[in-house]
Amino acid sequence: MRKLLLILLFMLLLTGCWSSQELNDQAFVSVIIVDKTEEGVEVTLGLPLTNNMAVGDAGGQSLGNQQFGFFSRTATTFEDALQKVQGDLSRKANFGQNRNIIFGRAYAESGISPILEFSSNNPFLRLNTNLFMVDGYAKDEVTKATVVSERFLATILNKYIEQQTSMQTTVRDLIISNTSGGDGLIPILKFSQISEGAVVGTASTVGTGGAGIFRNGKLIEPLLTPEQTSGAKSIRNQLRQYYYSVASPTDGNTVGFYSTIVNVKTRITRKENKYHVIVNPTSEVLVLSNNSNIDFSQYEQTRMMEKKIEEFGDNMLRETMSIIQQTGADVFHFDRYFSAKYPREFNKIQADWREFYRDQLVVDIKNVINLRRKGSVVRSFRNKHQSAHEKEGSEQ
Amino acid sequence: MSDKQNGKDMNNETAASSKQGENGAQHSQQAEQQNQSVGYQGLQSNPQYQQSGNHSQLSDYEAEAARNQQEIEYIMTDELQPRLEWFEQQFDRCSELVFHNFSINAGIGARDYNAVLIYMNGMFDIDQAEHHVLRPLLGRTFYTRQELTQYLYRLHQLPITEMKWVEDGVEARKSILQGHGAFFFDGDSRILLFPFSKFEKRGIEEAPNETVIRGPREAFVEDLQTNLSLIRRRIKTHLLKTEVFELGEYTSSKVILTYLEGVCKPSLIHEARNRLSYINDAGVIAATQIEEMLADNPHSLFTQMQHTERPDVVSAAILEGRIAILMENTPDSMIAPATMFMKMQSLEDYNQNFIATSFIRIVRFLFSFISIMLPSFYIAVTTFHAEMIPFNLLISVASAREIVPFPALLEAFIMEISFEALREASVRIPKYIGQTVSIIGALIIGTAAVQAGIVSSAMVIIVSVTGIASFIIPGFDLSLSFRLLRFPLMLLAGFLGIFGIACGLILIYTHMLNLKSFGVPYLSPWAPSSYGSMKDVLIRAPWWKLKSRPTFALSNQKKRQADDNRGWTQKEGDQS
Repeated sequence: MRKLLLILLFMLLLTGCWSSQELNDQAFVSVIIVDKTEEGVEVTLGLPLTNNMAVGDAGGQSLGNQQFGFFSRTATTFEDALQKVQGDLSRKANFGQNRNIIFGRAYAESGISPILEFSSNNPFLRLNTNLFMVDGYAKDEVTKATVVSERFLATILNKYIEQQTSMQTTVRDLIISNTSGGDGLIPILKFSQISEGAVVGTASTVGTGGAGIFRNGKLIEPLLTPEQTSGAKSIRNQLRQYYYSVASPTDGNTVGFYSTIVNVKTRITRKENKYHVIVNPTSEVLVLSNNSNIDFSQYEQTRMMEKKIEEFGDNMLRETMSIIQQTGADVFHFDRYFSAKYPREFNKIQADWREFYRDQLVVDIKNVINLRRKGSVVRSFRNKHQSAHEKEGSEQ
Repeated sequence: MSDKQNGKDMNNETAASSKQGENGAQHSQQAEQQNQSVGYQGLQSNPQYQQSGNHSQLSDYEAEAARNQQEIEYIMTDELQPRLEWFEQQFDRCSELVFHNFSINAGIGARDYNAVLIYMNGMFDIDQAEHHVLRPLLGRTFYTRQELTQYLYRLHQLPITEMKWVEDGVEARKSILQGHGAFFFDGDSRILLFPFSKFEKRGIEEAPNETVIRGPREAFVEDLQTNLSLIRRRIKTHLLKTEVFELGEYTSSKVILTYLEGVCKPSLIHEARNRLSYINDAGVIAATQIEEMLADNPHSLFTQMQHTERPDVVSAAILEGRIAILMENTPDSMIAPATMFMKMQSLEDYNQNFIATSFIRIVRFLFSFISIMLPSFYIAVTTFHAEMIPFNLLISVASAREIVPFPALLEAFIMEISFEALREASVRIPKYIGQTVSIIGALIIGTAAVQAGIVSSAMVIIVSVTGIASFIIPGFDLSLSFRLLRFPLMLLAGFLGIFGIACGLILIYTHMLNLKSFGVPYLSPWAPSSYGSMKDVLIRAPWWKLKSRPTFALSNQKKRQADDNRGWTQKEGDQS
């Protein structure tokens, strides 16, 4: 009996009841916005204000009270700014639920390496935090935007990543390679105005479009257009849905397609003293609308169409790749393939990898298109009508 | 007789000695001799009583107690009178006892034989006795004593089928207390015992706690014979053995050990008999008294025997090779050995389709896990591991908890304790206000508390789901164990988060692994893996697949059915 009591007494030392944190003593940061101003780094934390959410109210706007709040402070470094922001908050900031960091253009150009270092070093910010950037002053754009389609802005961003609407770049993607660390593509959030944009007729709302090229942690010109971003996504196997139209090889009218990348094979070989990175994205395509007279029931015509689509894709991808390669930013981290296959050569050129990548490396991109579904009918309804007429004519 | 005289002398002695002295010393001496209680002694030393005359009332009481506590020996004799006096002395102040003195006709000129019939009024079937004992005896003349003796003892010509005779008055006394009648007459030392016991007992009703939708509805009653007959009707073999034990000094409760010989392991039967023989309690009334003495680990929260009040469950268990213990005046039976999985099985399972049953069993296991884990998990996640839950869920929970002034652990405890209190109170509520109280409970604990801001709505949901989950376990004792285990797990979750829950679950699991029920591990067939027996644990295999008995049956009786129970399917194929 006494032994039991002693054991119980000692077990009291093991309790962690002083390390428990109440849910409502914490502020769950859901989006971090980092900008650069004259005074230094400006950090904005976006967090849901749960005290304004009424009990039993399943997420609607309750009496016009603000449901999401942004707290912003400026300091010379990121950590100092965090300290200042925490000084404003009545609850302890908890970054465990944070999945998104948004950079403003100024900060991106000055270098995002401090943030990457912060994320990789400590467990507060996750390594798989998604990175976004805004072409402008991020804090103003984000805080003035109205969130219409989801409950919180962070939810919109998470859904973008989930649906692969925007490109997904995490901290890990940027720092995964030592040689090309800090190189990557970060998707741009576009805040559209009243006349054109995501929800027409309201104030600015968030949307996706384009990507920024980062070399060694700094944003460099040019910014990729949305089409080029889709090309880059297809190289990274993130293009889940893509609508486009291609001119038909038979008569030049457009045929609409929807494609999904199912697989991307990347490998590196050596051909005639040059190192070739061969990228083969495989897509499955289905026909959405057929405005030409092409007849998909015939194999040769389908094959011709596939070739045309491949050409179309190849052109776009090569254009994107050449733009990226010219900047010398190894955003797809081809150095990992290189170092895996040719380690000795890689050791020699490791110090000047980016130059080698820009000048010597050849990237061959070859699309593989499979036209899976040709639609409910194999011919355009116009053609069917026409051929019916012809038939009638011949019978008569 | 001599003893009685001695007894009287002794009494006179004590009376004399009491008359002699009023000094406390002598009184206390006598008190010590007679093992009086302290209170009695206190009364004795009260000066008021001491002064009330030289013949005090108390000494009379002492003398009487002394007289009564002496065990007067029964002397076997042919004579009626001393035996009758012994019985009268034994049953002194037992008002229901009837001594029916009569005399048997001995013919003209001879002295009639004096006879006496002793029985307990209320437990004895007087009509039967009058018809079958008194009438034949009084209806004819016995010319010699030998004729009467022969009539009764050798030729068994009394029109009753079950009677026995004893020589010892103590045994006769025991039989009288069980509702039999004792008969003896002047001239023979034997006492006849007639088993005409008849007393009011409850009829067979529906099982109140184990209801099924499809299946028999009979339940055990308090009468042992009726219970046994319920089992016998289902297992009609001479190999169903029922051994009798009488336990309890004052209660002499009959305990019956039932098993199927040839199927049940002899070691198990032996062990059960051994354990039952050790029980030496003064009074054994409830079955739980026996259970705690038979259990391998009485300190454990998990009971190691299965309780049921349905004869079909007991029959099924006996057919599997287990033993059943039935007790007089208890409408429950205990089945051993019992594993945890047997308590998770319900009778309903065997009366339904096997696919539906398997699904329901899986749901049952899932919910039993929920009943022990859900509040702790909620506390751990909201207090320690807020990063684990999805963002939207977190916001909902956090906004629900804004209004609550208590930390999560305290809030959970308040809700759980109120729920337990409500559950306990509802057992004792009279039927007529039961409805009202349940509505009040739902309103108060549910809605009003949330609106008053004392608990959060998420907590109410969790407590309700846990409550429902705890009712889903068929074995009531097992659900009780899980209910109780929820609280330490909540404490551990509040102190150490999920690490604490993991520690708690490991401790519970280790404890359960160490439990044995009559030598069978508590978690078999899961823990010492026995894949053959697993067919009846998580899912219920159809009857034509349940070919072998569980592992604790006798090894040469493993097969329950023939291999080709469904042999007619093959034959059909042949014909076509």
